[in-house]
Amino acid sequence: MSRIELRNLSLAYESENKRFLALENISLSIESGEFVCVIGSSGCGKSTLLGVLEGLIFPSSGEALIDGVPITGTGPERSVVFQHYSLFPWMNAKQNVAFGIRQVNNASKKEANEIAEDFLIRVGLKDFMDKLPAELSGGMQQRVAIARALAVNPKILLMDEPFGAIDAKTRVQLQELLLSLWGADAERKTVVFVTHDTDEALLLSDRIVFMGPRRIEQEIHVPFERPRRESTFFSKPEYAELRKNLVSLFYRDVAQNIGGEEVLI
Amino acid sequence: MKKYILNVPNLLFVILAALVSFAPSRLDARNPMSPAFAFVIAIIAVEVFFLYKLKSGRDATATKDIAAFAYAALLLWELLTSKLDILKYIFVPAPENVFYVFVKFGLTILSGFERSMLLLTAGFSAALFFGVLLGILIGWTPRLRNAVFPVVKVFSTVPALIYTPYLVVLMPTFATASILVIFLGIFWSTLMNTINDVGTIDKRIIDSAKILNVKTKVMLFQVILPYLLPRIINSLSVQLNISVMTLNAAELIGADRGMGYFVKRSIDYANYDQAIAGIIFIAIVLTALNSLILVAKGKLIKWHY
Ligand SMILES: Nc1ncnc2c1ncn2[C@@H]1O[C@H](COP(=O)(O)OP(=O)(O)O)[C@@H](O)[C@H]1O
Ligand SMILES: [Mg+2]
Repeated sequence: MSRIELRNLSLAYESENKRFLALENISLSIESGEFVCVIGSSGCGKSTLLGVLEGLIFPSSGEALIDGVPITGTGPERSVVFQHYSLFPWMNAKQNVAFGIRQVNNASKKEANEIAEDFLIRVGLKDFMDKLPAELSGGMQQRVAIARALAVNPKILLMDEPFGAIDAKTRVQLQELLLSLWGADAERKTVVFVTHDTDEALLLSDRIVFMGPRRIEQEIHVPFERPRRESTFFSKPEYAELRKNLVSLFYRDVAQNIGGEEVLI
Repeated sequence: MKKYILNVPNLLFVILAALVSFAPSRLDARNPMSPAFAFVIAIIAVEVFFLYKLKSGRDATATKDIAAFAYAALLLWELLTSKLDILKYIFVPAPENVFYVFVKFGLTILSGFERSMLLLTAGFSAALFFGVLLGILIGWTPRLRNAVFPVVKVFSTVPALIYTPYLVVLMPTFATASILVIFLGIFWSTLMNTINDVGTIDKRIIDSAKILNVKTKVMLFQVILPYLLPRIINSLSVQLNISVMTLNAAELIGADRGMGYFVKRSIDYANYDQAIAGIIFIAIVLTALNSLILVAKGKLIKWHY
């Protein structure tokens, strides 16, 4: 439930003798409660863009605002789920979630544990609370990460290819879990979800932001009503149409990147 | 059951035990032999330990090889000295006499052990505590790190053994001197390693903590410290060995009691049986401490990088 606004944002990674422009003149607004997917080929700057919203990287020029206030660092109104390795390997599932809770509110250890248990049950990990991350499958680890992100009740949820390393079947379950958790809130959270999977973007988002190298190329409205379910969703003709457009954008982009030659994928 | 009994180490054990218990000693004519029971008890202790390891340990072949080697060495020692009298007794005492030292000088050895452990614990834990604490603080603060790291690197290359004699004369008592020597012997390297480790910590761990909005104190002691703990524990064995080495070196110079002192004084008086007993004792203590570290690691750390 917060509005995000990027204005003429550029970002260059600077090292001793190199300067690499990763984002160039990005402008984007995301409404409160909107679910936006950022999609684009690898290396085009998606994670960099999300890093700015996370408050871990800072723009070289331009502005990044949340509810009109410039981002100066991480903040309790934002939660993040990374692709890998966001859990602390020495803490079990419950401790990981409770640790997150205790950093942002003054909950006692007991209260934090209760909230953590509640969220772990919601993501379907009732029987795995005492397991260390290494004892959980990749999908289960991401469930814990989602529980940890949601347990602090953030206004904005930032997700960087959270299901990118997960097998197809589990990914569908996680997508539906995410949608149901997001849909369950009376005041919906604003979500920025990075992916390189067109089907995932179409299933999840209200709007798809298509990125080319360094910049936003196109924004695509995804009009399908909610709740959406994987099983019914993919058979719709409008869906096929949108998907075709998106895929062709993707291939055009790939073709341009490698110099206009024909590509077979 | 069969595989516990029918093996080379056990065969050697029986030969050795029988030889020590029943075969006459040629040495006895010239040099009074100490009673053999202490050595027999030691052999039995080795056998018990061997059987325990064979039962609980993973690599049975290695366990057997090590035991066979140990028995072969003891057998050779026993034959060359007590049984055949080939080696010069005065320099290479018989095992019976060496192990009898533990009976005769047990109290002296124990009081030396107590003293050495006291100094060791004090110097070792202080160095570890301050090395890790300061290392994390300095490693986390880029400006401090850039200023301090080169200096620490220089200090950590100087072996403490070099200035040990100087500290022994400088400090008012031997205890304070040896605590300081042990402290300096591992403080600089602990500090340097910790600063290094903080600098090379996985960025994803730091980012995960940052996005949870941790305060600096939590970042340092609830994220970085637990993340580095396995590395710190792994370095303990090396640090412990260095500490024992520096302590023993200090004891050669100025102690009046202690494990290293016991060896030195015995050599000074040409009591080589006592000296060898003292060396065996130090080896046993060090091995026990190292196993303790391994056990602690297994209990404390249930994950790996
Ligand atoms: N820390 C960094 N220093 C220099 N270049 C970087 C850094 N991080 C990313 N890049 C570069 O910036 C570009 C965009 O990276 P990223 O945002 O991770 O892309 P994406 O997430 O879309 O795959 C890539 O070309 C990458 O090599
Ligand atoms: Mg990325």
